[in-house]
Amino acid sequence: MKVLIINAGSSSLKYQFLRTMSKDVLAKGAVERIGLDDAFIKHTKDDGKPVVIPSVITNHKQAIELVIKVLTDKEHGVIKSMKEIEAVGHRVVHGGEKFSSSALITPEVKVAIKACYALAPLHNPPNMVGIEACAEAMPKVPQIAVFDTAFHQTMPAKAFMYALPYELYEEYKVRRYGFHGTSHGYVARRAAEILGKPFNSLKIITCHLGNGSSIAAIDNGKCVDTSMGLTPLAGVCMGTRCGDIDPAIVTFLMGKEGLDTKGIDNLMNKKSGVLGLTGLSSDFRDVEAAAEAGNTKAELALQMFEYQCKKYIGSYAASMGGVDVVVFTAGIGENTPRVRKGIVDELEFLGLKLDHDRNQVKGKDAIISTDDSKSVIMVVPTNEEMAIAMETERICMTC
Amino acid sequence: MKVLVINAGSSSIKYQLLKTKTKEVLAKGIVERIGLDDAFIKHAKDDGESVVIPSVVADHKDAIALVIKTLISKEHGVIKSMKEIEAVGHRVVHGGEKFKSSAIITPEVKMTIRNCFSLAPLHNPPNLIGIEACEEAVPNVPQVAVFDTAFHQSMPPKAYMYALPYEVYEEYKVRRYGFHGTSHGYVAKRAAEILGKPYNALKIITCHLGNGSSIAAIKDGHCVDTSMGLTPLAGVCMGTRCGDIDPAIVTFIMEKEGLDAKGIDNLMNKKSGVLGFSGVSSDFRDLEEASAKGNNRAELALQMFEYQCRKYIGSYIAAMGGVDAVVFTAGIGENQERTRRNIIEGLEFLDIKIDPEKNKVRGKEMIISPDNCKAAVMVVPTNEELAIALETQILVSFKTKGEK
Repeated sequence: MKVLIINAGSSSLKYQFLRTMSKDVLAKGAVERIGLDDAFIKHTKDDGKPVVIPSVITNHKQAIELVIKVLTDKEHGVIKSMKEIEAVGHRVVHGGEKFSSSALITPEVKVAIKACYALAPLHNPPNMVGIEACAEAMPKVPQIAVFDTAFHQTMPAKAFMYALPYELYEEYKVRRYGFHGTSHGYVARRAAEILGKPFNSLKIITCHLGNGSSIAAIDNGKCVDTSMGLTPLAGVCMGTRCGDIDPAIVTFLMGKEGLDTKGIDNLMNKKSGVLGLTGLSSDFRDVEAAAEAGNTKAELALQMFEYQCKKYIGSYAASMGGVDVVVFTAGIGENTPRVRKGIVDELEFLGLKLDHDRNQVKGKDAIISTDDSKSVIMVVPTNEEMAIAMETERICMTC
Repeated sequence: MKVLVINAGSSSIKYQLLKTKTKEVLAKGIVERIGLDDAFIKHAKDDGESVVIPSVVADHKDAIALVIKTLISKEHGVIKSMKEIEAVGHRVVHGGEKFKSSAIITPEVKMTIRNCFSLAPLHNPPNLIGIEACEEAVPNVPQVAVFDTAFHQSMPPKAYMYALPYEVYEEYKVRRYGFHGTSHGYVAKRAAEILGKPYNALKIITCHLGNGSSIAAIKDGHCVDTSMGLTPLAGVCMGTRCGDIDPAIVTFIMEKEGLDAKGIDNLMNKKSGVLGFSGVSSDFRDLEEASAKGNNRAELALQMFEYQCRKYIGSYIAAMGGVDAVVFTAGIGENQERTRRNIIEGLEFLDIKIDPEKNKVRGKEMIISPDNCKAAVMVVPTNEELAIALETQILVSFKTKGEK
């Protein structure tokens, strides 16, 4: 099946066109600066050379039409007609409690996505605009919503509830949702495949460590806990996000620095994490280079990240009563041997023994634990677009 | 040594007079409603019967004078003269980064306690008032400050730093401090004694579970991590405190409910935890009762608490690379069989288990794991006043020796 994947932001629209059977990416790109005078599309065919075409794009519908035009274009295109697009898969950030899996988009599904606007005010509205633009541009093609939160909906109440007044859950649905669900689910299943073991018989801890990082505990094929919370701010520290902190610090800093709620949210989301600690960069490659050059704050930032990840692994092993597989994925998880070592070193009592030579791998499927390690440590590159495409195909088949 | 232990709050002073050698409590009590018309002292001698005496208590100095008067009174007293009080030990909540252990009170120490006012605005000011009142009332008696935070000062930076802009640490000293330190240190050392092993060769996880709860990881005699943070709000959920939550929830609720900083702090500290969640009570005994009668939210509140404690234990085992002893203490930790069982359940893969018979113990020192386990699970009742008295005695004896 040929599937178009859409990830719509407020002024941009990323796309990939994939063939699910062969797992080929036929083309990919982004429409940027939608609604502005200098809007453009950056498009890449499978041969890998991107072209940038300035265009008049006043809204998301025009952006989608432009994507289709480029995909069917003689020079830059990869298909003869838009009829070859068999389905569209949309990344939707927040599915609330309503969606525990991907869904064929119907009027009811759209209402439910709108009901989650308050939970993801920056993401769900543009996601919806993308969906509606596609529905207009390709009225006969099935549209599928694939939610970042859906995979985590299997968590038990003791893991997703906060010890806040119960009315806050009833009234505003304040609870743990978790994010990166498509990625956690994808790499966990891939890990089981690679090991040749049934997904639903394993205790897996997936570490999606990128600019945003989250860790999930997957017991017998079901997510039972994850480090992000109501929002993607919680969990381990990240590029620019503080992760878990004493919640009293929020009001302490508001008082000391004279910040309002927007100001402190901005501080915690954009000015914290390893960037805020080091004053250098949110990119772990820069931080690692600085640490190697003797920058003590950079070294501390890396140690904090590693230590916090290590503690999550320990806590999830405790919550599942053991662990069979630890999976590293995403930018940092796939490419940073030092961080992986810092996280799983000295976890031998959990059955995790790292092979230091194998741990040098970057960006490839690999088992990086020793042969005599009781549990397996792996690198499994994530591929959210491919995961969305597979989900889209799966839903189309069942509908 | 006879030590008077003082825990001064904003309108109350708790006290105990202890004999350190025998670990006897000679008398204890509380002066309440200081500065109000209906102030009183509630006092109990070692025989345990308490008397309530309404008194005029205008300020903390009056309160200390009243405590001493009662301790030497013919009817209610336990000593003949105030000269028998050899030292005073003060509980001080926040010692900031300055105090890694208890300290004999000097003008510099008082200044440092004052410098920590902004970190503990509700506790440090009355603690200092209590110190100054004692200095005036018993000027020749050595005074010692015992800090809730001191025990945790051995944490490494990777455990105590938050991933916030570094300036926030430099400017306001925002970092993890941890609390209940006197209790964690006391029960960890007792656990080592009971096991007959050197304290500084063990990996111990202490679970101080009471109305406020915190968990600490103690490796080779040093605290390496703990669940409370800048304030006692963080960590596992508690009687009325929410514990760890996504920090974005703070501003989310402020906006939804139209709360200011005080309002949300009040909500998180006083209206959350198992009380806010269950709507039943902040007392775990009430929750167990409600749960037994079929109250689902009470049951879920207990499960959340147990689950969060278990996750902390797992994370600290990972932090230390193993564990030799898990110690339960304080109201819940010492008495709630169900809570201990459910926290430890699922840790069998690490050879951490509970013997159901031994786990029936309440409020007594006991090893509750089966004999053949790698890690010991224990109940060790805490005794903060005794721990403060012992700390005080050590410092004062050391000082006296030095002077001789």
